[in-house]
Amino acid sequence: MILNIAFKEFYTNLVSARFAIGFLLCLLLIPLTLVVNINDYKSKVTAYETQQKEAKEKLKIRVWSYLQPRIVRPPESLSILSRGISYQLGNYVDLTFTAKPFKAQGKAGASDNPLMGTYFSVDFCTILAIVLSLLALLFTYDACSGEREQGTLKQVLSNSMPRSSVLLGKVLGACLTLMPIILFCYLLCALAIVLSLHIMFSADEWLRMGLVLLASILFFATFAFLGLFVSSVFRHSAASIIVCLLAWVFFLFVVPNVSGYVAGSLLETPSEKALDANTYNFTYEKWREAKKFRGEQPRGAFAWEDSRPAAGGAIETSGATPVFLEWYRQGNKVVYNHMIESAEGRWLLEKEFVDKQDRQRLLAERLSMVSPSQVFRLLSSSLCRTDVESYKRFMESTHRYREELIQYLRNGNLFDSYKFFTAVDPNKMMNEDEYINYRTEGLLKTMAELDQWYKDNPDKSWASIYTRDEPSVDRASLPLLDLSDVPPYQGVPGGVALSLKDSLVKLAVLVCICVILFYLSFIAFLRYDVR
Amino acid sequence: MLSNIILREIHKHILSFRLHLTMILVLFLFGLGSVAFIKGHTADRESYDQCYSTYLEEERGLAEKNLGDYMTNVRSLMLAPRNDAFITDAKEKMMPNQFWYSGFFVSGFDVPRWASNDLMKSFAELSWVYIVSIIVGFAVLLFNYDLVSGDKENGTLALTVSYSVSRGVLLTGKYLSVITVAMLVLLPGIVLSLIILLVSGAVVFDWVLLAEIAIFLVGTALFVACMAALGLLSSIITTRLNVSLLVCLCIWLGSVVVVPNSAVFFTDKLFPIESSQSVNERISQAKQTVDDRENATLYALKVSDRSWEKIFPLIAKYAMEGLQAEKTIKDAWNNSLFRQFSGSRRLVAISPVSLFEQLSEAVVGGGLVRLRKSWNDMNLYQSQLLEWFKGVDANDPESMHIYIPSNASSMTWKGVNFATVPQFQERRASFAERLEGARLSLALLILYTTIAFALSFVLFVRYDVR
Repeated sequence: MILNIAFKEFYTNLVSARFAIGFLLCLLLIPLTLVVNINDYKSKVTAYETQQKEAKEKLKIRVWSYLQPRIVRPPESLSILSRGISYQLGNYVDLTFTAKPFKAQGKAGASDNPLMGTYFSVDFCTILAIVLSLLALLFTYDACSGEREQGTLKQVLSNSMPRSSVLLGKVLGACLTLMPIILFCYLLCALAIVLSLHIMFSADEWLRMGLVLLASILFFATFAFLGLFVSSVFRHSAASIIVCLLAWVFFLFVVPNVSGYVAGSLLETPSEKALDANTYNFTYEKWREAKKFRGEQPRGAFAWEDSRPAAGGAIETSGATPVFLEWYRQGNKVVYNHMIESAEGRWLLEKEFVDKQDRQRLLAERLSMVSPSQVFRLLSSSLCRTDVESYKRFMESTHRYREELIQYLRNGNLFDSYKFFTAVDPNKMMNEDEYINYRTEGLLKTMAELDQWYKDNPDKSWASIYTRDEPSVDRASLPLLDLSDVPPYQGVPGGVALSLKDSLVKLAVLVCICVILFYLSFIAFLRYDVR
Repeated sequence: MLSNIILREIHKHILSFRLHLTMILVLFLFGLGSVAFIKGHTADRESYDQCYSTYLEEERGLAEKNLGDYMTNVRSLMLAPRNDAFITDAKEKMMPNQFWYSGFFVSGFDVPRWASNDLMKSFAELSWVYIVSIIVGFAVLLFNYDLVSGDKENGTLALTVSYSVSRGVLLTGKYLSVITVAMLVLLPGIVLSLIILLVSGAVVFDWVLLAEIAIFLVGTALFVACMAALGLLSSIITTRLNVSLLVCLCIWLGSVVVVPNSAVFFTDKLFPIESSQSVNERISQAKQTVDDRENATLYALKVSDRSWEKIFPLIAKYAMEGLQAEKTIKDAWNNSLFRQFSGSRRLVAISPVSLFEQLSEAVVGGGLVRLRKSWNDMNLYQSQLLEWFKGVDANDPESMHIYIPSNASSMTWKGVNFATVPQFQERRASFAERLEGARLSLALLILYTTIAFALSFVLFVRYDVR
């Protein structure tokens, strides 16, 4: 009997204008969304490839202090289903000795134009959420009130059929109607993925897409129950449609923005500019401390080829006196130990900041969970790994890898090796006397003679004694390091199980909302006055 | 007669359930939005003030110590949070709001990172414009989807048009009543919001702000009129209530979701710009060429001849050339960014909601209007600063008067009284400039309204009620 009612509902809906328009809406919006998102994904892939190329270049190193690889996060191909926050965050991290990875760098948005950041782009799941919830409400808003108005409800209920069966039949009928639309949308999506030259889904990704499909069905059922509930509370279908539509606008368009706005004003996050200033001062202070560990520069220790530390504590020199190289080598171990330790201190400042941001984000998410559509969007971004948890997991993996690299350098005693900062053989370098001899083209032979010259010519500029350019070294001709022993980056742990674990709470919330609405509509329908 | 019809319709609406429900929602949102705005705005203001005072301190330190360093230092300056952002924030937090400049060159603008939490999905702020464009726009469609089709369905249309009232007057009456009712729904919310803002003292009310509010209300009425005309049209072209509702929903979805959200995609296709990567490559190539020439010239000198007196003019010549090359490329790129964005604005102009947003943005002089103006002012300021500096430098006998944008040692290294250094002051756009920005959106909104109403008018007058 339930099936009879379900089929009757199904046929009535199928021939109705709302079904046709709903179907047309999907036919129009879904392909558009897919094209937009596949296009954006393509730009993400291009950005990834560029970064990957740069990362490879960055690893062509001659000295160990430059072992500061760039870790690039591959774009998530399921981001075409749900973008999550993947278009707000960068895609790579540069590992350094002086700081732990704080934030992913690089291009975030799909456009190169920062002005275009004012537009949002909707993904497949958002469009689906908008259209499915709207259709679910349109198919159910008059399930009771409409039939009461037409007078058919009296007749149906006067049969020996229990009311619960009628209700179940109606729910089933609405689900049956929507199923073709949902399946059609997903088929379109699957087709776009299969036909696109830029996306290759693995088995794992197909499986997760299947899970998103199941979540959409559950989401649709939630809104169908909401429609039924409203329909069995109000006596007129004109009233129930208004309530349904206002609830729809509230859940889909008001809640996501209000929750972010309210969370933003309830929990303040400190300014990043202030953090920048703090971390800069901290690192600068530590750097000054570290310099002291080297002690006085001994006489005759100088470099004529760039030996200033680059970003992140990388340093390379290929022209310096043996005294300089030895003095530098001896200091390195303690200096870099200090740097690495101070990175921990800096991270404490940054972690506090990230934690505060994360707390604000969590509050916004929890507030927004009053809306089933928000729960569905959060759930789908968890399944598609475009959520904050996945990003945090990536950042953690880069932290771990940095530790591994430092451990590798420590185990091989590389911090206090010459190879740490120079690719030349120290024994083959000019000593200080040879250097002076070279630059003055034989005019002065030793450092002592140079000192004497300075004393004799106090009014002359110190550089005017030199008649020849500094000896130049072609860095490109120096040998590259063999990095085959260096532990490789393991990537972020994956697997469906992990995504499921992330999405469990959201799934539970969605099921709860669904059950509560079902219960409410059940009670309301049982008590419905058919007169 | 017209007033009778309007009054009758308003009376009908006021008693209706949907009006009460909408009113509650609108009041709730205005209240919540204002309270959240006050907290957020105060925090933003504090954060900005802190940043600005640090900026001033650094500026003062540099200028009073060494003017050459002051000129070569590349720093960023951001725009203050707007007092009237409760009307519309114009998505300024997602927009470039910070300029990078030195005394020699305004190099670009970017989105300041302090403005928003990037772990949180970006959201639209609950400003007046948001509430009006999303909720009130939707409510207007809900108010009039059954204006004619409802009468058609229950057969009262034949009775109504059989009165001695002309169909035109009837339709106009119905139309005007919807606009009036929508404004009535809105006004308590706005009054509530104003009361909250006034009591909190977070916003200083001056004549400019009051004028902005007044013009905003006029713009709102126009937007409501446009949505109402579209709703009316859908109600006339359809014979069934359900279909009319669906058409209204499609119009709304199209203007709120589809058009604004696919803007990036279509803009990239229709108004393509060079990628930032290729621009950067071109800049470094141009600079490299100049550097190579510079090195060749410098190394051609004998080592003992390389005194500062000889080298500095050469370095300055090439540095200026390099800067000019960079400036030419960057200026063209920045202009192309503005052009592309303006192009995207024209694309989304199909949607009345986007038009209303643009109109309100221009009314408060925020968003693009503000960015453009400040960008021009910043460039103007930089050239004034350079002129002023050259004057001061000329009076310093110890300076070599050679200007190298990245090296201060050949210019005056004396400090000056910071109070005498010209400072950048943001000037708000005048109402004439705002009107200039609002022209297109205003004209289009009026056009859409007229077309939709004229069509409904013609269709209704010729409608066969049988």
